[in-house]
Amino acid sequence: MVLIAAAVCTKNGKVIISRQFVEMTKARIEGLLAAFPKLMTTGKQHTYVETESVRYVYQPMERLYMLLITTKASNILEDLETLRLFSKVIPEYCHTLDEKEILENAFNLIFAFDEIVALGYRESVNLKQIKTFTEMDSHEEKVYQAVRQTQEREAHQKMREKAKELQRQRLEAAKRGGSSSLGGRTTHGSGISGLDAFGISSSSVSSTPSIESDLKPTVQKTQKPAARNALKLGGKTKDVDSFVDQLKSEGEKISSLTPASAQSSAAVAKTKIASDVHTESVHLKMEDKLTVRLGRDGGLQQFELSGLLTLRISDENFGRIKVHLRNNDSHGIQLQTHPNVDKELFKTRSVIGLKNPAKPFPLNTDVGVLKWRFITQDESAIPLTINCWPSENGEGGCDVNIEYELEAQHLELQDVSIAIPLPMNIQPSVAEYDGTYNYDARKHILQWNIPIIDGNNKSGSMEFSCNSSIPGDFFPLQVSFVSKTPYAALSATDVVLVDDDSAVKYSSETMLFVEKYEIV
Amino acid sequence: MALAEGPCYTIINSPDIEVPNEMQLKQDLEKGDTNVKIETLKKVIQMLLNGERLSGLIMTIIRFVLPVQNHQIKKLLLIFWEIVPKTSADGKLLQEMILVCDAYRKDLQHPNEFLRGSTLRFLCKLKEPELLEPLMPAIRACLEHRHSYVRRNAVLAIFTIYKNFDWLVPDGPELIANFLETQQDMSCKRNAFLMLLHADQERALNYLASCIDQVNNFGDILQLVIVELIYKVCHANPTERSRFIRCIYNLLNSSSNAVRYEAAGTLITLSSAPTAIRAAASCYIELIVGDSDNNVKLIVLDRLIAMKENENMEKVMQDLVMDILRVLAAPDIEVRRKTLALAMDLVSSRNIEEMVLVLKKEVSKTHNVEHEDTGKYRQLLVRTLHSCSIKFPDVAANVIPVLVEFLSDTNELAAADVLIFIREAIQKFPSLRALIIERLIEAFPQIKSSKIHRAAVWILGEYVDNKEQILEVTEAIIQTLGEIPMVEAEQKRLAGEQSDDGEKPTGEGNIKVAGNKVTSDGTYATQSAFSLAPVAKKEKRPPLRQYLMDGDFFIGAALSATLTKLALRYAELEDDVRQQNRLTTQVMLIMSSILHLGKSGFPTKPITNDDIDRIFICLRTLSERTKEAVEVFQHYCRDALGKMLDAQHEEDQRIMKEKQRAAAKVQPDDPVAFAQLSNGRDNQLGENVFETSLNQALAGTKSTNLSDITSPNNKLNKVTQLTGFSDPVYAEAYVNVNQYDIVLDVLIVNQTNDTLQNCTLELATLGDLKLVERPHPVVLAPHDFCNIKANVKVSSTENGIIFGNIVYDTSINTNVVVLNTIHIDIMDYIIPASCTDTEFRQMWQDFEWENKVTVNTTFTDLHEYLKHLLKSTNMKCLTPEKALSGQCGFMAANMYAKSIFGENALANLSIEKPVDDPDSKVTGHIRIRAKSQGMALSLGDKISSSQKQSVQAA
Repeated sequence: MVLIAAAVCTKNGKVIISRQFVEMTKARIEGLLAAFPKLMTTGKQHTYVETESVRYVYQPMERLYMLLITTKASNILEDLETLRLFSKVIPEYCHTLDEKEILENAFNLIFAFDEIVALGYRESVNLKQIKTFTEMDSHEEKVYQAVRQTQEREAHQKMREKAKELQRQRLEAAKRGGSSSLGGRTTHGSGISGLDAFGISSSSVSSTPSIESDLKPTVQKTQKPAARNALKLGGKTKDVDSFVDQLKSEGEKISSLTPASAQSSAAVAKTKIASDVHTESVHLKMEDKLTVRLGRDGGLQQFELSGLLTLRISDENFGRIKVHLRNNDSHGIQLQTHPNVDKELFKTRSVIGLKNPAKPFPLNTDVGVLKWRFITQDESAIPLTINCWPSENGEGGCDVNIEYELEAQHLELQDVSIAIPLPMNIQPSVAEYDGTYNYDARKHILQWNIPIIDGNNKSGSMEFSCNSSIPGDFFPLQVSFVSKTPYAALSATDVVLVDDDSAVKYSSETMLFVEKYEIV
Repeated sequence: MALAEGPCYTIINSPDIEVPNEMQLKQDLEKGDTNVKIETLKKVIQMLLNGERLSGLIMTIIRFVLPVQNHQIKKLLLIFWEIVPKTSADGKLLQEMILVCDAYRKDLQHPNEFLRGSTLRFLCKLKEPELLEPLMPAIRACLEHRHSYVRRNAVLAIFTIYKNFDWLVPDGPELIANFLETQQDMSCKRNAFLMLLHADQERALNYLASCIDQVNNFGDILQLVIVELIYKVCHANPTERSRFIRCIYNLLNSSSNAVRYEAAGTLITLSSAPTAIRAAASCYIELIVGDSDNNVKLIVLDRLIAMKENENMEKVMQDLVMDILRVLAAPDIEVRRKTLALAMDLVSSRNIEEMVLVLKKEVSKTHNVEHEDTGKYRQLLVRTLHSCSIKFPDVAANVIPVLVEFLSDTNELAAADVLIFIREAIQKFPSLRALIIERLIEAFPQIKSSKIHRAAVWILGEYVDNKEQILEVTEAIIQTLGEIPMVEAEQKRLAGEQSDDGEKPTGEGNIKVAGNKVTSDGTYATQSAFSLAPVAKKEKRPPLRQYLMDGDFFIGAALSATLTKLALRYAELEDDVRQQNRLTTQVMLIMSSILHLGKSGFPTKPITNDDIDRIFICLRTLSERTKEAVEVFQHYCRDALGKMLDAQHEEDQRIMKEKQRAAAKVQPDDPVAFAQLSNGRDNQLGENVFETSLNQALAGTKSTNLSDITSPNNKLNKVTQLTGFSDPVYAEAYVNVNQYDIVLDVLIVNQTNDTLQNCTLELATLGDLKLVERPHPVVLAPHDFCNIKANVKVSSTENGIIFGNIVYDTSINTNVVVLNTIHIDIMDYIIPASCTDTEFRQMWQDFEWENKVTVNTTFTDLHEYLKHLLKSTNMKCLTPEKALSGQCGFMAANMYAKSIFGENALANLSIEKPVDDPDSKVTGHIRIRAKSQGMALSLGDKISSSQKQSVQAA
């Protein structure tokens, strides 16, 4: 499956350009290319030639051939696919298909060829992507450049202001007479270090005005890289983010493709849910985290719920807001606000606002404003009960019946996955089941997946049997799920501005996920 | 040297532009605006590719081009760094490269994701660990980049770095395995998997195991790599096979054809169970039928054919013959040919009936479709049916009626094959004779070509053996010949048509005979009216007569022989003398009438002497009934056919046996392979085909075995002395001929007491040779020596000459030593090859260049001479041994060879020697034909020089 080289040659066999994708000597590749015209026969209805060592696959294009050299074990179907792509690329860059035009665009073609094949393997790209890749028109670079320009502009601005101030102080000093310019510089040059240097030059310029115009641009030039470096070290990402957010608020579509770094499946699922939520410039996020341990014979051993309400504001106009909440909780969940949040306001009116109403919430960061926690021994709190009943079948094995039932019927659980441990190297035979299952031989787990559990579809069961096992083998069961309905019955009802209590458009997402849910 | 031996990724074949000097380039790179810089950089790259060393430019580029942010320049620079020599002459990294390294690092952190990606891709090609080391953190960071373009290239970079310098990323596989877990993008996954596949199969397997159920939903490129992994693992570790069969089987139903193809190939290496083989073969067949591309069809057919070679698989595939025949729907003749051959090899007694049915249907399909290849296809079908019925005589009776219909076909090819078949069938299956004869007589009048008639007539004459049929055949012949005597009939016809000239028909014939003789003198015009008239009325004549009128009297001779046979046989069978004589006279009348017509001048060409002789012999045999002659007509003909068929059969058997023997042969000193000890490399399908094929493609086939065959190719014999022993510099070269290049290993010895500065080997070539790179100058201490390697590219088979000189500076002046010329021997490129007679004739007709060499030798034996010629030219004699055996004073043989560049060389040897004089020398000539002049000439030269040597030796 290895593509050795892609070449364009004329009808009489002269090679115009060739790009190799594996390491080979020049003598060898030239030899292979030179052999091609002699091997090629016209009048056949196929377009490949095989020699002892390689296979040539070609496609005629007017006065040229697009030629691929592959190994003989190579996959012809794949190669033809690649060849088609190659021959589509050429007219993209060359208007007429002749030697001269190809030579003129040789480098462009080589760049494009590189996008199609990597280390001899075909990349899954189409013509449009190749175009994008070779044009290198990067949005991020533009963003970066824009940010840099703004910063430079700001720096210039500041620099000018400083210079003016210096001038003014010098004048004052001159008026007062005696005070040294050096003192003035040190007091005011405490800003950016780059400006510091400039301060020196401008102050020295005043005595030699004739050089000023010559000197200024060079100094500016030398400053640039320093500024860039400083940017890089500092909050570069922050700036980019803010710029991106701004663009977003202007209606530009920018997808943030943060690669999922989380390991557990729940976390992956979480991000999956999170990714398809629409966000406004005021965004509320409620996360419930559940840790439950149930006994295999029933009984709740541990139940812990912890939650967090975070607020994210991406428009500074909406920095000063209040959030109205509704608390329908009947379990007795303990609530706790952030120290900066006005506690009284919350206690009395269930409204979240800052202690100092004049201060805005921080911009563009997730600010946790409210935490809650709920620990109980009450069995009615269990959202999903699982009854796993292994019974010995008398042949040294076990028949296992499992059923689940949704107790908290207001919840809609998604991607429920129940992992049942199995004895080593034993394949279960599954008789009846709802949902889907798969057997992971490596981890010795039977994974039972139910895409959704809700009030309409609240119970299900599974039956399987296992040879040579004892009932204890099937514990502890691990359950994971996610849900968009929160466990805690908290919800935001309104978001208003502090000033005039006018409503603000906001978006909210709620999420319930399992940290640990096991039956031991 | 670095250029020729190092990796080469780019070739741009620009026409020779005038080379700007280095100063100008520097100027442009330094001062020019962006566009000028781009153009100059392009020029620099092309010059580097052409082998110039612009070592002075590196610094300029670092200072003035590297900081430019233009994308085009960035990309061009990547190519520049790819090809620029990064080491100094002593193999150490150039100092400047450290500066460049920083630039790489910056590009790896560049906000532009595409720039990052292409820089990472470039790093795959970088072979200097010193440069890579400082870049490692940046490369790792790129794995986390949010653009998949960057990530996937980062994986590749880590992959190649790990492969080449694993200490730089000791945790490479782990890193990538973790990376793989989190990836969603198909390309990233594929590349990461690819790395694991090559670097750490254990991890790759773990990953595969974790997602084996989702494999079907993966993209095609990822699936392909998974198949490759399974193939590799199972090769290294045959015990693992069972784990993957399920997965591979699933992939057989993948939506991508490429994956299915690959999976089928892997499946048969995993399991030799009939079900697996059947699944794989069916998958292949579906691919062939489903894909419209002829390339695919042919190559996949090749795979099926390869499968067939394995005995186990052949058995399973026998059941699939009918499926394979579905491929015949493809219009390409090559595909059909391969398919039929494959089906023919696989067919068994169980499904032969069905296959014949299908073939018959195909035959009938070709009747109404007229396409340029239909004729060939029909011929192919006929041949297949032919071999079917030879292999399974039971179906012959079934096949013959279908085939006989072809006799009336306008297409000569198919008809000729039908007759060849009938001839064999009639000889081999006496039970079918009656049927065949009956059909043949029926079809006889409809035959449209003289060749076919000739052959049909022969068969009839040979095998008709009862009285009624003899009479029937004679009747049929007379009918197709038309009214006898023919000359009178023709005259009448002429008279009838040209009523105004009708009064002198008798004289006309005579005039015409005379007229024909004068044609060449230019008086032809007066005759045109007469010669045109019969041509216009062609269709009205019976076929046999028409051939004769067209001057084809060979058919007349054949007819006479047949009639003679019939008459003789009739005489044996019929007791009534009157009946005997009646037939004999009738027959003799026909013959004499043919003779008369031949001489009359009506036909466009008169009868040849050869044909006259043969007809006379027939007449004489009939009239005199000499015992020997009668014997010849009655028995020897058939015996000759029998012998020929037997010989053919024997030949086939021999080839079969050889094949089997070659497969089963184990030398007594061959190592014994213990399955337990072997690392699994050599299981049933041999070594890993991917790796071997890649190695083969990259390294080419070394001509080592060639040197074993012919003794003059011994390594020591190839050392050429280049200068004299008393020259101040002694040089000799060892010429190593690879497939497409010649490596000259030149030993240079300083024989003086001075240090030789700047000692340069300057080489030039004549012929189709090209020096790849100029050798570097060296400094030679007193009595020191050194080896210099030079690469010469060869592109066709032609005698080439390399010449040159050695230039060196001593403390006083510059000296030159001229070298002896090195002749490149064409024999290194010529390999014996074989082809069929038809191919040979076709090529003989097509090739434009002929070189005729007169034999001039001291050999006195024809066979000895042939042997000598074969040995000295590396050609293969195509004429079978049997045809050459015996002494008759003449010898004609065809020889064939191929060059490693794929050129064909044909030769025909025609030599003679008086039988009565044992001391006389062999005389004659050799004709060499080739497509290109060079080949024909060089081969001729080779023969003459080898003759000269042997003459001198004697």
